[in-house]
Amino acid sequence: MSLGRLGLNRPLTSSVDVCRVRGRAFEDILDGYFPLEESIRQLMARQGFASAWITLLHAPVMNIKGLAPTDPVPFSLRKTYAGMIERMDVFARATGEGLQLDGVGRWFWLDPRDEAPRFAPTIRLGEPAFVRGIGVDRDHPETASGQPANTTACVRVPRGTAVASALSSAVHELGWTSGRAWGGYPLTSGIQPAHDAQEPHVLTGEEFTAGRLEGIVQAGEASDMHSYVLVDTSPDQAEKEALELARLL
Amino acid sequence: MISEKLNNQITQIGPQTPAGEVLRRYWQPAALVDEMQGSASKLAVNLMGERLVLLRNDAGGFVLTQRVASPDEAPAHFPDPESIEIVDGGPVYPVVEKKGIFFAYMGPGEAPEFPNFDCFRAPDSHVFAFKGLWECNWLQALEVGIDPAHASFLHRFLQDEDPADSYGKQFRDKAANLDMPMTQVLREYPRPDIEVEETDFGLKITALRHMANDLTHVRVTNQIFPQAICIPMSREMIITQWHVPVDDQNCYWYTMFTSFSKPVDKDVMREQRLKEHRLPDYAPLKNRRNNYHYNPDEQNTLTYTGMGLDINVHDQWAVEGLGPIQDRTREHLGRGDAAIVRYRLMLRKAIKAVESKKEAALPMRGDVDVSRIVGPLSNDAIATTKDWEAASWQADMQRRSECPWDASV
Repeated sequence: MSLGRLGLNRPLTSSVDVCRVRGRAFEDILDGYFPLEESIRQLMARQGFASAWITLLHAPVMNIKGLAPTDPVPFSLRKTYAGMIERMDVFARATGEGLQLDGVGRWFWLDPRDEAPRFAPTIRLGEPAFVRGIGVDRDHPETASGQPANTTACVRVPRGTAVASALSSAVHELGWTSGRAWGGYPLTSGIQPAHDAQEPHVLTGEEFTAGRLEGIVQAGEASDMHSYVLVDTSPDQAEKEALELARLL
Repeated sequence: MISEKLNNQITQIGPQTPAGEVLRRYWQPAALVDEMQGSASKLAVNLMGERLVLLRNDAGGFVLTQRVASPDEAPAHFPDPESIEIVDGGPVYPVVEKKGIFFAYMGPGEAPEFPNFDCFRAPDSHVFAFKGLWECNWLQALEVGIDPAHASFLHRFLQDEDPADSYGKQFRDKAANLDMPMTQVLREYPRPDIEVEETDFGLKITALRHMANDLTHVRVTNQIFPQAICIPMSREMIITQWHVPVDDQNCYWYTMFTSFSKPVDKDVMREQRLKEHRLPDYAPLKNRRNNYHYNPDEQNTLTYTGMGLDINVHDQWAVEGLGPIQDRTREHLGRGDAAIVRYRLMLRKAIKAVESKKEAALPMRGDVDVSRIVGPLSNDAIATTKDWEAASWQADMQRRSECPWDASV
């Protein structure tokens, strides 16, 4: 992920990059029947986001072989093309070429022959899906110094750092008492199946309370960093509606 | 567009089916108290794909158990009570009587408490219960009730009735404090903005119809999990309606009409509805076999459907017209179907919770003190556009403060 392209690479600590961003928790309905990447692109345009973490739950999907992404869906669905997302956490970001979707999820197909190692972004939702997530605004994604605190931040943690400790430190540095984090999955590698024994650096909404990072950690190159978005869940924050939504994520 | 298998998952309600197991975790309306009259000790009940009998026990209470049934009997078959034979060793389900309806609990473990909804809190004098048979799956029957836009089309009246003649009828009162009939509001503002919010009991659904002169009509309705709705009927009454499966292809609507101010005139309410239904199965007299008494002249001049003034018939036609079980491989929902989308997510989450033995995650189960769940707020209001939220709340609070029974929230 190129945080620099979004202006998010301003380090606030020597070891863990923490950047406040103009973003917010959101709820919306993804359209059904279009390729998932198109439905997400439209959601992001509607919400004014440059990037977004989106969680889908219990969403029916269909993978209609031979149907071009620009083709309309047929009148009815044959059963062999159907499946269900049980949970999927997707990071979507605009690229020069379109939209890149990465993330982890659990899904199944009614016909096991439809199984594939990645969830293709051209797969279509079988009906509109209610989603929640965190979006980074398209305009002015990074807050300038002196501007009011926002409720979201991006954090980069060097590989090899204890993620929980690093994110607790980030929460402390942001002046929050608690925050929830998403991210840590490989970027530019698509949507992968979640495993029962999830790698500890992959986070899908875990909560962290403020703490200090013990010891010195060497900051790495961008390619050696895990990236996360943090949303403020501090009970005393000014934006009560944002807090309510952040807790629902 | 979901596959037949995924559609079966959310529509089929027999024992051991995914949706059936969810519905069995909640009290289900089983019969009207009106049906068990006098000294009768047995009443056939056809519920959740099971052939049952309601029995009066020695203690003066009631239970539900299995009865002997022929495989070819009609879905809503009501044998003579004297001819009913009980299946020895069949399950015995607990039954309670609430405001004119017998509720049964057919699930495992302890039955949940009843929430403190207005229909349960109001005195008997202020609640009237009735039911009617629809020949279709329960889910499509429910989903029409959580689509706030449908009323502007399906229940469109081309002429407005004098609200003074509106007693006991849906959408026939004036709209809130405006001297405009509800029928006119629905007709002239057919495309509401729809907001859906998850609550302790299900969903709060707000339809906003932005009118002339910077006014907004606010209509608040509710989905009560798993398969009820609570909606305003008039300024005086609300409707709480369960869509209860008889089997996969038939369901009863059970409605409690709850009045905030005066006692319900039960004789008038019963007479209005008995004119439209036959006994003992409460099947509607207008139905598919007589084309719902469709009249093209009426459709040209009076109603959108041409099927009379009873909106229940309009809904019945719309949901039965989808077939016994709606074929959702051919369905195309839009973002305007927000409440249906949110409801299906809740249902699928509940199915997963039951399958994973995490029943505490179900709405109104687990450690939740359901006796503290009151309301739900359900009303029509008109306000300046920027004040609609406060105005909707105020309108409900005013009605509750003037109410002779404790309707505080």
